[in-house]
Amino acid sequence: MKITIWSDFVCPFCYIGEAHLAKALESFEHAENVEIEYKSFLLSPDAEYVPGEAYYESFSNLKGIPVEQTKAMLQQVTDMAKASGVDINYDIAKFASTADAHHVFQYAKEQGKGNEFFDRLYAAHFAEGEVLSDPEAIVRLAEEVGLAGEKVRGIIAGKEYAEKVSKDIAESRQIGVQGVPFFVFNDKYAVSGAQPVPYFSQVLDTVWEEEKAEQ
Amino acid sequence: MADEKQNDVIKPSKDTVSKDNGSTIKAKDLNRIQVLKNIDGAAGFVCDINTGICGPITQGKEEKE
Repeated sequence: MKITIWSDFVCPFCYIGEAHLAKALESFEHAENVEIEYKSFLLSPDAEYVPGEAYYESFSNLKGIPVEQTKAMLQQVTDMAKASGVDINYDIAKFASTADAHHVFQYAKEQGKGNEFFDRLYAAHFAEGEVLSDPEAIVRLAEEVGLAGEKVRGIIAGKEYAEKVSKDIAESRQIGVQGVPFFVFNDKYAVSGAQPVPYFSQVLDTVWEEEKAEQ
Repeated sequence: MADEKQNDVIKPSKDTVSKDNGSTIKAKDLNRIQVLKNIDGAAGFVCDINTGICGPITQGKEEKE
């Protein structure tokens, strides 16, 4: 079974939703036959990191929404993350573009390190306060998953993987994605959003049964 | 847009898959991919790709899909 996930490193419900999927997979007896592939999505491509500015301030400024609305949104996310056992800390998270990080992700994917890189950047953003638009931070995080730092520096400078990121995003729009995370099972069935663990379990069972019936 | 053959595979009834445990998944066509709907009452949460704002999936968003 193949699961394709459109996500961004700074998407909180992607982080939470994937934690729910991971929990569902823990109790799925055919988990060893499940392959997960991430695809790029940029939630805030125009984001600019402003040192010293709180996440909610930067977010409100870019999106043009009241600070109180942003604070309520982040509180809802934080509460849900806590209930799901996911570490999200908006007191230290930095609002920044993830475009360069996604270019490196595409390279990591080619090197068989895509999922590891994605998971590393989730934690870096949500729990460690890393600035994901900072080239040196991206290089350091890429090196942590085994990628060559100099190669990563070149990718960030050269933008040669931008087309692959754009292709992922174009594909998401082609299939009608309205929000992320967006999970596609076996290229046929989709689940939109962070859903409860039992729901993911139910979908895994249903898709697996169909896959077996087709063989 | 929709692939009717795919619909037939997963849907014993018109648009709903019933499970023995009593819960149900509602399937809805979206181009070549079916979006499975959780109709057990639990809300899903997304970050809107147009606004970047995150929150529960609303009925309005569902209808747009």
